[in-house]
Amino acid sequence: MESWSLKDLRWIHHSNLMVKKIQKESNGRKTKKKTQPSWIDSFTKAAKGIFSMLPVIAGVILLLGLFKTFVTEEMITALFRGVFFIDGLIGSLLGSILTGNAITSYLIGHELLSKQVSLFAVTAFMVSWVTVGFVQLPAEMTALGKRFSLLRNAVSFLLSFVVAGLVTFTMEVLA
Amino acid sequence: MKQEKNKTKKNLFGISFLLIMLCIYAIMFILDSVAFSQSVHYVGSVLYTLIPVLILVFVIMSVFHYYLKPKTISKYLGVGAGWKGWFLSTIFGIFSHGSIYMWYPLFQQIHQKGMSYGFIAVFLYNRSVKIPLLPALILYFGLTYTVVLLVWMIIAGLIEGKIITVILDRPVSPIQ
Repeated sequence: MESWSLKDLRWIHHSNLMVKKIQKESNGRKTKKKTQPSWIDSFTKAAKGIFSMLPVIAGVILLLGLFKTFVTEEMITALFRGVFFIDGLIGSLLGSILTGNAITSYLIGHELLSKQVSLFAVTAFMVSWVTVGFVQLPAEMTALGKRFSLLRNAVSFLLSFVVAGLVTFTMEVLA
Repeated sequence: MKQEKNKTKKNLFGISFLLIMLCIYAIMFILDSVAFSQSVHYVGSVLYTLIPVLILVFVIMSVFHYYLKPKTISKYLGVGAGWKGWFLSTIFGIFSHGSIYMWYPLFQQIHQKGMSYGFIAVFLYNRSVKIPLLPALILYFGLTYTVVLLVWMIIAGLIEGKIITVILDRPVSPIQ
């Protein structure tokens, strides 16, 4: 039997420690690599996210096309009755249902003002046009969930009324 | 398993929604070809403006995936991010552009990484403040009205975010 000297034992102990240290470092590097995704992974994930939404987005664009064709400015103007709060409510409702470029809402809003519709109703209409989206709701629900989408649109609808009131009040004070 | 089921359900919903729309267009083509061509023309113009935004969103999503970690998002835009979160989501919302639905996939993924619902709501609300369209708003309604409207809308966006945070966002447990 060969006997181990103290020097040998120390050497074995030291080399064991070195092996453990190298293993630990390489494990650390591995986990670091795992948390940092590659560019290909990032592109794939982004593409997957967009492609999963494409059918709904395409559907929403087609729905927008229908609105653009069948809902005219004259039809919108004819809906206002000249009653302050009811006009505000009609403005909010119309703005929520209709959709499109914000500049279209400015044009319609300007047209409504020239036809003696109140500033309150016109503001409610323009604010809900850009903040509430019944047409986009299917896409929003698919991406962000039913609860969030319904709540966000309901709060935006109520706030369009509040913002219209505050804007009208501020304008009167400033005037 | 449940997530996969939800995903399939969402995909099915999207595809059936698209199919219904295509059916309506097919019926319109048979009954009223003028209305059909008007709608198709409008859809074409929307798609034309949408493609650059889609590419932009794709690039932003990829960069976010690569650089942003859930921990970073939680820090700046997660529940309890504080004033930084409100400020960032308001600014991003004001300066973002393109159709609102193009941003949904991005927020779907950032929310999964830790962005709070409140800040998503603030972003989406502030998208209504359109910087490039301000000259048009001033032209039709005047400078005073434009400034008053924008100030109240930014405040309303923050109120909406707060309401949604209170209802939907659960505060992070200190034990976690």
